[in-house]
Amino acid sequence: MTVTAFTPLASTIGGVLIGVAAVMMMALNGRIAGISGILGRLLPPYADCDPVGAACFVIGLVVAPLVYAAVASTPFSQTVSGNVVLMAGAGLLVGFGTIFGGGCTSGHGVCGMARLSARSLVATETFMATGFATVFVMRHLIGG
Amino acid sequence: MRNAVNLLAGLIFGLGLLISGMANPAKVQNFLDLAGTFDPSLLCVMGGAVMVTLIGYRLVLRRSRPLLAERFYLPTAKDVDARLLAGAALFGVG
Repeated sequence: MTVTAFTPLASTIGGVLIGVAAVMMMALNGRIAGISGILGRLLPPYADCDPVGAACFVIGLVVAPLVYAAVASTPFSQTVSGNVVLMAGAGLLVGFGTIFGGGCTSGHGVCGMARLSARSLVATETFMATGFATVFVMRHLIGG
Repeated sequence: MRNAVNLLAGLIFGLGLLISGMANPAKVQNFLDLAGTFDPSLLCVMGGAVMVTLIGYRLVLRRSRPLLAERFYLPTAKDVDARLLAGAALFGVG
């Protein structure tokens, strides 16, 4: 377990930037800025979606750390699990769950909540609840 | 032009994730660890993002169409069904 500092100011500023990106996507392209949905559009079937546009968004997302590193004075710190099997399993659950449930933290949690969608509110409560439960089991019952 | 918007939006979104600390899995997991090393930062991220999007969408969706596309591609499903619940539950576990 790694202790991380509470960063209210930086986190709120980052959140505002995420909101700006979401509003921009809707105002100009008419699309929801949902990361799982955009990633899903990279793969077939391509009915009524825009794979090239999705690829451009993903490129922007992937380039962001390089831009951040070039501008920021402090390097970005990340703590990632070294357990490859656990990471792969979690990745599968994230991918399958978001496609099946129609969204993730950005699509349901930000864009859907901002549209006051009942589905998104329920989805956000559900994944938060299973997230809390999973971390409790993994860290306090099993002891990761 | 639309692709340039996608690229820029992806970049801004990514910078938002980095600045907010949400690109660090440890910070997200600590938000979920109420009984341990709890870090409430994620609430600030959600708060900031939802506030901006809530107001922004209100203004944007008043228009008949987006500036660079024929229409708004909004989700049409309204029902809370088993698929939504199961998917969201699995995502949370992952």
